[in-house]
Amino acid sequence: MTSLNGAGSLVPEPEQLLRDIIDTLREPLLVLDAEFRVTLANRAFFRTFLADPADTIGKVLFTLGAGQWDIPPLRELLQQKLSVESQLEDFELDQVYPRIGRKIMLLNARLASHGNGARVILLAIEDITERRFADWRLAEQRRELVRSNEALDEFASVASHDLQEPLRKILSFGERLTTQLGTTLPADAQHSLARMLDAAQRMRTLVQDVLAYSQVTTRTLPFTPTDLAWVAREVVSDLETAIQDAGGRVEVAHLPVIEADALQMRQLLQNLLGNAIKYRRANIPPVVQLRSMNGHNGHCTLVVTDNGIGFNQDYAEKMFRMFERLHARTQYAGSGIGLAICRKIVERHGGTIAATSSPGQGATFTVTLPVTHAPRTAS
Amino acid sequence: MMVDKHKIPITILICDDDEDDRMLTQQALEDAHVANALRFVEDGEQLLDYLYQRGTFAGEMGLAPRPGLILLDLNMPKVDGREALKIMKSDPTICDIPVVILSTSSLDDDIVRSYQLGVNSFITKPVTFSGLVEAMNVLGKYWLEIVELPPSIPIARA
Repeated sequence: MTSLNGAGSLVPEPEQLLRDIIDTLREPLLVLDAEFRVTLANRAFFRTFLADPADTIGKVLFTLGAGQWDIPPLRELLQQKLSVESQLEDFELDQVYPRIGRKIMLLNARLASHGNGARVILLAIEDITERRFADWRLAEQRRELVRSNEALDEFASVASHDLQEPLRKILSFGERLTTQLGTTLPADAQHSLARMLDAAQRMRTLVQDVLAYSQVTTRTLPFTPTDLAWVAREVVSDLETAIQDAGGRVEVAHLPVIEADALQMRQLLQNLLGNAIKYRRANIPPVVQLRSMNGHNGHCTLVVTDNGIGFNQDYAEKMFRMFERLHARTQYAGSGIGLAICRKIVERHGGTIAATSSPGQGATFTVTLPVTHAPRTAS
Repeated sequence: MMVDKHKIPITILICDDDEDDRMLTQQALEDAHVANALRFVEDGEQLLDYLYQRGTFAGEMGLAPRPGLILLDLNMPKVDGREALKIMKSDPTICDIPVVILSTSSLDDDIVRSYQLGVNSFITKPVTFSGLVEAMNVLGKYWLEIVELPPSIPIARA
């Protein structure tokens, strides 16, 4: 079986070496002659298909295992295509085998010629059943997730629409009650009425915020080339009064054009720049900077920095959640929806948003967005 | 008071399925000192019955005086505001009655569609009562002092 070669080391006979190599492979491998008779099969083949060497070697492939390989596409592949192309890659075969059940096999075939001119077919069979099933399960779960997210958004949208109605009535009748009876009511009753209406108004804001949050995915524009510099100018102009009242300024550096939902980009920058002005330190004019950096892999990064009150880094994740607030409502108005909407917008665009800060040190918000989007294929 | 060409006080017909809203509109009209006779119907089907004096409105003319102005909600059961508007505006005997949509909707689709169907104005219900009073005040002033209303013509019985 072995012989000494010139260098003096022990190596197996070539044929034995070949057998050992193919037996070592974890995937089934067959060697067929020109008439599709099995001349060689590795251990993985016998193991995978629960086959017996005596019933395999010398037999025509299509008669093996009670004809379980007699599959028209496989016949076509081996008898016709292979004679034209001599090498066929990744032919997927989804088949129910009597002994081992449904398997998805990936076939790679190669037509080779021996020195004596005899043609040999090498057939490597890879069992990808588990992988395919996992892919399908994953795709199914993804579809389910999309469905459930859509249902949730629709629920939020419908619920918030319907919730607005009774609130409008409470506010309207309450307001009328106030104008009709306001001055004739005892002071504490006036106070109760005012608190009641104030709470109803707050709930109205919450309901509108839920609606706005759900609309990030239900009311959308297609991604089109959007000049972020233009969007930023619009936003700064909208915030002009707030900026002037605070005695601050917003500095906008060069910004790119990216494919995005223009209205949502506006909403995003509005929230980020608005927050930067809002959460300023007492007696320190807010200075807000918006700039961009070229990111990796076709992404761009937008950075908003301020010199405001900042926040404890422990809350950096928490504040992107819906209705999370880091400050008392009496201290800073708002319902805690702004950053949640920012995150939802960024995620809809396939990007990320994060924040860093420490108390009193100002905050930095970093948004990374893809510059372009692959055209959506109909699905 | 809103009057038509012949200085007869006009009736305002309010079509809204929501009792609270009917009450709020009535109170807002009162607070806005619009003292015209008000009639109420609760959906598009009743509105058409009223205008054609059929069903529960069949019989004496006094049951359903021809309105000089209709305030119409959009989202209602049975026949909604859109369908009722379409029917009214395609009937020459009643298409001259001014119709003002008074709806919670502010959807572009609703607004565009209503004007395409021939509505005379579209008002999104103000959120606050004072806003509603103000809207009724302006509405009253507009249809009373500025606009010339068509003289009443008899409605053909369907």
